[in-house]
Amino acid sequence: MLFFRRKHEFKPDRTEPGALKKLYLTRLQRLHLLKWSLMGLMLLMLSLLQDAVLSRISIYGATFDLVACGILLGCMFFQPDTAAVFALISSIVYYFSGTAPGVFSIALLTALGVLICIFRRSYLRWCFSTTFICAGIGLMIYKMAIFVIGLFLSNITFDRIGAFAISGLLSAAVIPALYPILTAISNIGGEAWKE
Amino acid sequence: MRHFFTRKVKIVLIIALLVTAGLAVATNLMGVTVGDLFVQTILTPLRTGASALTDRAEKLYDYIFEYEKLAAENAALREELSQMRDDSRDAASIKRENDRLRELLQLKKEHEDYELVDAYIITWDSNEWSKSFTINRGTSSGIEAGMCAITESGEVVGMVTEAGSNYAKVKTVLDSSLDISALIATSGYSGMVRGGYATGFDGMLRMDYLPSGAVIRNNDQVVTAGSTVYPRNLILGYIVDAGINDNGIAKYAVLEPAADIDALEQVFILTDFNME
Repeated sequence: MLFFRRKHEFKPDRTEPGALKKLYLTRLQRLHLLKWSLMGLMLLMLSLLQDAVLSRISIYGATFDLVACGILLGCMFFQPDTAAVFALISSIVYYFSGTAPGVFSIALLTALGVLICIFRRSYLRWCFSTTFICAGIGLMIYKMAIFVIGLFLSNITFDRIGAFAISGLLSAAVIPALYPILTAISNIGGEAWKE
Repeated sequence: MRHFFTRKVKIVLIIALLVTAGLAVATNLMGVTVGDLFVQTILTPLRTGASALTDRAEKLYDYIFEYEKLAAENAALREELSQMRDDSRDAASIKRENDRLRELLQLKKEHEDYELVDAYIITWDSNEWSKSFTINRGTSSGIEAGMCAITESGEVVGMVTEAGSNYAKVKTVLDSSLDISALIATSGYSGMVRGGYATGFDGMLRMDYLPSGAVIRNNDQVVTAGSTVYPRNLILGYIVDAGINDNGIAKYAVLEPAADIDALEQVFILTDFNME
């Protein structure tokens, strides 16, 4: 008991500012930094979960694609210009991580992320079901586009279309689990409510 | 909808296309890019940790929910391992027998008159003054009392003292009651060899009645002189020591037996040979 500091004991002021304080960030900037750090951490967790756990599971020849799901769903929570930059950077890192199907996934994920974001904001109101439908459609289009490119490059045969469709459905099935996490992250800094 | 396609969005889309094209070219030219190395170097320890955690979780799951299945698999594997160990021991034993038979074949080539019956030692009858054993062949295999036992290299082991239909008792050369007429191979001096138990040379042989003027050298080979029981030139042992008898008129020599009696598994009984 002698070694523990009592709660109300006097603490002297710091004479030097902390690392973040030296950047002279405003409160909003700190919140945005926190938000994007958490987004990056979430995508990292999805990547590790995909590589370490879900890659061992195969359902009718199809596997999950959590990172693509995370990127497309994440685009739904931001303004189109912010979503475009987010999708571009995330897809580039996704490609460099070695688990992306090919370099074309950068252009595909960026374009699809922007398109579903704009479509939802133009024609649908904000709720879980519209977000789920748009992100799900975006995932299916992504999987079919990869299938067509694979056919074009002679990497796969036509009878594998079922596996790609199932993969899109399996990845879309994760959206309900990711939605509350992304809602909480996007609400940091208060931009998500802006329609 | 068009108002959402701002200039910034268009620029980002163009950059995405350019980056895709650029990386496609770079990958085709270089194979692995700097970006690949950088990102994957950072991700590798994290992936290793995640994989290790997954393995542990799987093992825990197996332990909790598949314990009985794992226990049965463990028991089956233990039995298989035990069987394989038995097979390995049998294989080693068969190899030793094979080596002995190869040597015996060589012996048979040198002594075509030898008729040999192989037998395995099944029990040992050891006490403080004698050393004999029982083999698994007897009169039904042509073995009779009074026949000599040798190794595959022609080293004397002992003599058959008792024979049943499917067993026989062999008294080894270490037994003090066995007398074998012998010669020192190099010098030709003759004497009588018996076991050393009664004369204080446990585990050794003693050669008596050597002439007092005999020149005895260390490591001289002692062989059988030839009799109705032992053919000529079977190896008895090697001289390791010598001395003068208590009566002072004869010499004796101490021999190390040529056959490693304690390590014997299989012996060969000479059922017939040419005495000439």
